[in-house]
Amino acid sequence: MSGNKIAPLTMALPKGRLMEQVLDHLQSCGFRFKISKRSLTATDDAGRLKLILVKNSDLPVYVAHGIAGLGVCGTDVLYEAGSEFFELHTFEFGATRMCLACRADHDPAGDRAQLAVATKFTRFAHDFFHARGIPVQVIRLNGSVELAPVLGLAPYIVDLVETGSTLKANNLKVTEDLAEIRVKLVCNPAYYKLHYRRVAELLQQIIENGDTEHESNNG
Amino acid sequence: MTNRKRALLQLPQGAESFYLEDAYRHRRIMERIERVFELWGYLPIQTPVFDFFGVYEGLIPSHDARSIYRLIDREGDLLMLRYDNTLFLAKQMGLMLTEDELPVRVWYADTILRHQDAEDISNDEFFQTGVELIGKPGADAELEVLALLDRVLNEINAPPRVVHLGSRALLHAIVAPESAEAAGRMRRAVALRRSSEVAELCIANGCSEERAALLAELFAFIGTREELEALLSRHDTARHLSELEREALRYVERIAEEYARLELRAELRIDLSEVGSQPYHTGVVFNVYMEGVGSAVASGGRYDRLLSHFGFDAPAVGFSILLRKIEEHRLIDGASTDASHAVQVDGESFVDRLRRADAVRADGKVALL
Repeated sequence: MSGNKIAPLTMALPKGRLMEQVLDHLQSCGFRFKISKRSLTATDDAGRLKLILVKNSDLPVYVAHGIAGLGVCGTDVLYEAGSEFFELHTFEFGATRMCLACRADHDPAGDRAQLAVATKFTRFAHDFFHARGIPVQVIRLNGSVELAPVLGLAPYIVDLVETGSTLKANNLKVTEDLAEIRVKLVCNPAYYKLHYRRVAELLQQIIENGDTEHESNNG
Repeated sequence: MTNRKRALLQLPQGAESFYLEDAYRHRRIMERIERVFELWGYLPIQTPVFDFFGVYEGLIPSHDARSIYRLIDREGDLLMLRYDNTLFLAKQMGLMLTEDELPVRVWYADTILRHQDAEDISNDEFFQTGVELIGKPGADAELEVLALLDRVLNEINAPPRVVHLGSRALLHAIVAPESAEAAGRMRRAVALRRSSEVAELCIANGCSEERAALLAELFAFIGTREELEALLSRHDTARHLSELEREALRYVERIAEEYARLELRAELRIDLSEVGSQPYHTGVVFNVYMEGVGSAVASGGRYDRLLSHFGFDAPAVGFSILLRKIEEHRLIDGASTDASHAVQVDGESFVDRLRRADAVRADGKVALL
């Protein structure tokens, strides 16, 4: 499909902590990357895989348009994006929880009929509470969501919780775990169809490296 | 910036307009495509821009229904803008055709409108061109549209591509389309290649574990006819697959075998996760994928019961190309428009200049007054 020299597979990675974990994993699979501090792309020494480093929330957009064929992303971001990808693999690292939290001294008896929730994850929050038949007013925030109950913007927040230390530091508590969030290897469907053999080989390398939660999604 | 200037600069999210070289390129490409369609005996058809929404209810997948632009006319009727040429065309054909006229070959080229999310960089306006071959049953009809699609893409210098061929009939043999919810869940799981979910749904549908495992493996299959044969030979298909399912698989294999003999440019792969995106698909379905394009550039298949929805029962097969997706590949040179090679004619008066221009044009050149 692409001439004599086979172009590397392309994979978008979210910049930040998750990227370091994915890079460690890829290194243990035999991929060697040299990534300088400011670079936004990198190809492994053997020219098999090109990484595109993007903002976490933008990653599904790049994969949806085939700019990156593959991507590594949390299910929280995938859900918000709404794009449908082939989910090839679930990584063991990076798991976290989507939680409902409020002030530690919050009295639910005083809640209004329509729940008010501040969150970055507006789509998830709407769908989750509507699936339970609960009317919800969702207030979109882009960061420091913990401030919302503290300052009285909304009594509840929906946010990712790992250790819970940030909540504690702001005198908040988890009232319910809403969903488990996992890190997935996803693929643009058209890209998969064009490169299914090479994608399957890459996936095999990742699985053989020890991760066991293969989605059994490839041919 | 004044409010007037700001208002002029604004375009509704997703609206598309293309100018000069882009528009020139688009027209030249369409001319080439039209020429191929007509050499194959296809006649043009023009569908209305909008129609009553209720006419098409039940033929539109729920996820597509959300993307349709709807409006209410002065009588209070709910209308929809054309979101798919095949549907609008099927209504026209269903109302007009008679048995004596079959088979009928038609082509269309028109804009369709579908809402896309704001994060999506593509447009709400899509230019869709394609054909419908109505009243011709059997593999020859599928092969005709596959061969025509290949010729059209060759004619416009489309980059290398692959055809992925699947079967809605196989899916229907497993879950009856009348069980809309179960069929929808299965179709989605298959299309997204979620093998574990496919197996679970099969078991929930009453399949044995062995049969569920085989169906999940089949729906994940991509490869050649020989590779599919090899997969089937490893299983007791007589025990685990119904005659209808085996027939659907044989049909796909037959199309693949015949297609290989046609020596077309696009490689064909059997891909049983291709089950068609529209509720009206009934048999073989296919998508065409091209390097550098993030979704299928063309799709098609058989829809034998669609016209009966509009009062005329006839088998049909067709394809559509979302042309703007591939025009970005600069299939023909838009920079060297005819106007860019124009001759500027001189003359004392307008009459002189017009006469000289007519002489230049008589030689097939572009003349500017």
